[in-house]
Amino acid sequence: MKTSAREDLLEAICVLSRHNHEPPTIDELSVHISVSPAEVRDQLLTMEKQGDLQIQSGDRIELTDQGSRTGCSVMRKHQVLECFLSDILGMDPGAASEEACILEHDISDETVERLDRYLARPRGRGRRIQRGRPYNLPTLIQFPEGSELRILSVKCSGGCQRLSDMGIFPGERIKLIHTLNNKAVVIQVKGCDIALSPEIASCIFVEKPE
Amino acid sequence: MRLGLIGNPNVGKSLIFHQLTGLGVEVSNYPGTTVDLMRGNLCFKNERLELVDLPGIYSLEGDSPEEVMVRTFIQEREAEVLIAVLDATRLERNLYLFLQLAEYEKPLVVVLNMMDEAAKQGREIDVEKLSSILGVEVIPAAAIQGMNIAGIIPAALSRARPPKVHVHYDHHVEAAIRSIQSVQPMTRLQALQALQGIGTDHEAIELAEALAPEIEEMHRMSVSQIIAGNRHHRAHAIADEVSCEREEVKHNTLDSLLTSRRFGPLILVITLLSILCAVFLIGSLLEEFLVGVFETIVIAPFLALPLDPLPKQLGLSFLLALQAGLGIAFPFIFTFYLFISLLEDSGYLTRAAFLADRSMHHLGMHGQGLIPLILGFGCNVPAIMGIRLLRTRRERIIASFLVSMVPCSARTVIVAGIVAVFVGIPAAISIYFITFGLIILTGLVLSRITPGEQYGMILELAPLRAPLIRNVLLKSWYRISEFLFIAMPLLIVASLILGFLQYAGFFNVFQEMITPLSEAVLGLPGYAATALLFGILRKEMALETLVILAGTADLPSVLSCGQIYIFAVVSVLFIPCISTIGVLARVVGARITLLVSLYTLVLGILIGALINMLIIW
Repeated sequence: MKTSAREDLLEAICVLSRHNHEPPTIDELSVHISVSPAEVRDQLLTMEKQGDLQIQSGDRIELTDQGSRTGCSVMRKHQVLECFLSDILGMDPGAASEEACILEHDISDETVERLDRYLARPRGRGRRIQRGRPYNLPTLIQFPEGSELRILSVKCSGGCQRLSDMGIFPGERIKLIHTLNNKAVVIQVKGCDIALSPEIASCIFVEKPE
Repeated sequence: MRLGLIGNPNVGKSLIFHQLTGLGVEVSNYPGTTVDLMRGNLCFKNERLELVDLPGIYSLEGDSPEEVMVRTFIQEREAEVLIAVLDATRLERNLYLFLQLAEYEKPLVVVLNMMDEAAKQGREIDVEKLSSILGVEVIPAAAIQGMNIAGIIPAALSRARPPKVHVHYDHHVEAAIRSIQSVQPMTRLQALQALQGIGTDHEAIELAEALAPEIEEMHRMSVSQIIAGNRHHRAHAIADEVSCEREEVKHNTLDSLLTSRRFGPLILVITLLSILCAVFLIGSLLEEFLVGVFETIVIAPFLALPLDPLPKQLGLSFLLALQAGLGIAFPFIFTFYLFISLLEDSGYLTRAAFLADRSMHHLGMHGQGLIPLILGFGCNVPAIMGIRLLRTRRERIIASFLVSMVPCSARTVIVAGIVAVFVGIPAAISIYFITFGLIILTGLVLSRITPGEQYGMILELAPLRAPLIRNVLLKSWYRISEFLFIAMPLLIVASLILGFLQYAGFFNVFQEMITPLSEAVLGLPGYAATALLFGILRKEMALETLVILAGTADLPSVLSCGQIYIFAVVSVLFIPCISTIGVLARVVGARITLLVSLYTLVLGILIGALINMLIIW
C-alpha cells in the first residue's frame, strides 16, 4: 500500500472523527472520500495489520496512537499548506486545496513548522483574520487611484454575499478607479464599475500583486 | 403558457420585454412582497402567452427581496420557460448568474444582448461554442436596434431545454453536499442551498451548519464565498473560451470627469439645480395653460348648470380635484420624470448616488437615498414609491420621514405665491432654508435613533450611454401612471368628502372651535387654520382656500407680513398631503405613516408657534 494512500485515509478519519466527535464508520468514510466501501474496507484491513487502526463493532474505525499521530500531522500539513497557497499565494481555494492534498505527503515537518510560524507572524494573514482579532492588513481605502490590486480577504457583516456575487472575493484582481474624499471608491471588477461606500471598502483587504 | 425574463440589472431586459409585449403592460406586486413585477401578453401562432419581466438580480442565493422573489418564482415553476438575458459586454459576470440558474434545470433559452456594443469594444463572441458549452440555444441580439428580437419567442417555445453546464465545486463542498444528501433525501441543488442557509428543511440546514465550520476553517473563508469563487472561476473559464482576445476596457474621459473628486460634486449640484429650475419654469407655464383651459371648457360650463346645492358642491369638488391633479401631474411631475429618466438611462443617476454617498451618510442613508429625495421636489407621492429601492427597512423609515418633508412643487406654489409676492424674496428663500435645516436635523436625529442594521452602498455604475428618447418617454409614462392610478383616486375621494363637509356646514363649526387655539398659538385667524386643514388634501389648496375665506386676494390688507410668513411655514411643514399619506401606508405600513404625520404636524405647529413668539417678542 502506498504511503500517500495510507496518509490520505488516516487524514480523512481524523477529519471525520474530529467533526462527529466519534469514530466514523466505514460507510461514512467511503462517502467522504468518494471510494466504494469494499475498496475502503480492503485498505483498512491492510492498515489494521500495520497497527494504524482497529475496526470495532458496527464498522467503526478507531485509530491507534500511531495512526492518530500520523493522521493529525497530515491534516495539519494540509491546513497550513492550503492557507499558504490560497491566502499568501492567492491561488483559487479549490485548486489550493487540491494542491495541498498532493504536497502534504512529501513536505518535511520542519518546512511546515516554519510555514506555520510565517503565517502566524504579526503581519501574517490568514489566521488572525479568521479569529477576528485586530489586524493591520491594508484595505482598499489605503491605495491611490489607478492601483491594480488583488483581494486577499473580505470580512464584512451583511453585504458579503452581494460582494461575492459581483466578483469581489479572495484572489480576484481589481482596479481602483476613483476614491472620493470620504474614501468611497469605485472599483473595476470583471469589466464592471462598482461603487462602494467607505465602510464596505474598508473591510476588503487587498495587496499589490508583485 | 407563461415565460419569464431573467438577468442581471441593466442588461436590456425591460427593453426586450417592451419590444415583445408592446404597451399592454400590467405592473403588480408579487404576492407577499413589495417587489414589482411587469406582466404583459402577446400572441404567437394563435396562442396567448404571458411574459413576466423579473427584477434584475445579481444572484439567486442572496437575501434581498428581489433575489428571494425570483428564487421563489423559479422554484415554484411559475413560468414554463425562462429566457435568460446576458450582456455580451459583461459576459463573465452575467455567466455567474446563468451558472446558478442552470442548477435549477428549467428549460430555457439564452438571449445574448448588446452584441453591437461588444463588437464596438472589439470583442467577438463565438455564439456556437457558447451554445454548445451551455447546452442551450443562444440567440445573439441587439435590443436597441431590434436585432433578432423576433426570434426569441419561437426559440423559447420550440427549442428551450435545461442547460447542460455544471459547476464542479471545491471537493470539501462536494463532500458536504454528499453528506447532506446521504442523511436527507434532497436534490443536489437543495443540499447546496442548505449549505448557504437557504431553504425550509431545518434538519438539513442544521446539518449544513455543523459541516460548515470545518470547511471554513480549512479554507479561511465562508462557504458562500467558496461557492461563489468556484462559480466565478467557471464563468471566467467559459468567457475566456468563447470570446476572442479582448482589449482592455478603456475608461472614458467623460466618466472620469463626472465622478472626479474635484468636479463631480459640482457637476452634480449644477445638474440638479438646473433640473429643478427647468421643471419649475416649464411646469408653471404648462400648469397655467392647462388649468386655464380646464377652467373655461369644464368648470365654467358646470357652474352655469342649474343644479341643487349638494350635487353642485360635490360635482365642483370632483372637478377641482381633477383639475388640480392634472394641473400638477403633467406639468410638474411628468416633466420632472422626463429629466430623471433621462439621467437614469444615460447612467448618470448611479454616479450621482455615488457622489452623494458621503453627505447622505450623515442622514442615516446611503447614496441611493438621494434619488427619492430628489424625486420629492417634484411630488412626494412617486418619491415615496422610490423608497422601495432602498435596501433596509431602517433606510426606508428614515427616507419616508425626510421625503415627506421635502418641499414638493405644490408647496413651492404657496411659498412663491404669497411669501415671495407679499413679504419678499429673501423671506421666501428663508423658508427653504428652514425646511432644509429641519430635514437635515431630522436625518441626523433619526440616523441615531432608528433601529435596524446598516449596510453600506454596493452599487454597480451603469455604463454611460446615450439615452433613447422612446425609452425615456416609456419610463416616464410608467412612473406617472403610478401617480395617476394611485394618488389621483385618493385625491378625488378626499375632495368629495371635504366638499360634503363644507356643504354640511362643518367648516363653520370647526372654525369656531379652532379660532381661540389658532390665535393663541400661531397668531393666525380661525379661517387661516381652516385653510391649513385644506392643505392636507392638496398642499396648494391651502392657499386657494385662504384667499376664498379671507374674501380678498390682497392678503396684506387682512393679514400682517408675520402672519403670512407663519401661514406659509406651517403649511409647508405640516402633515403630508392625503395622497402621500396613502402611498406611505402602502410602502412603510400604517404605524410609520402615523408617526410621520404626527411628527410633521407637531413640527409644523411648533415652528409656527416659535416664529409667532419671536414676532410678538
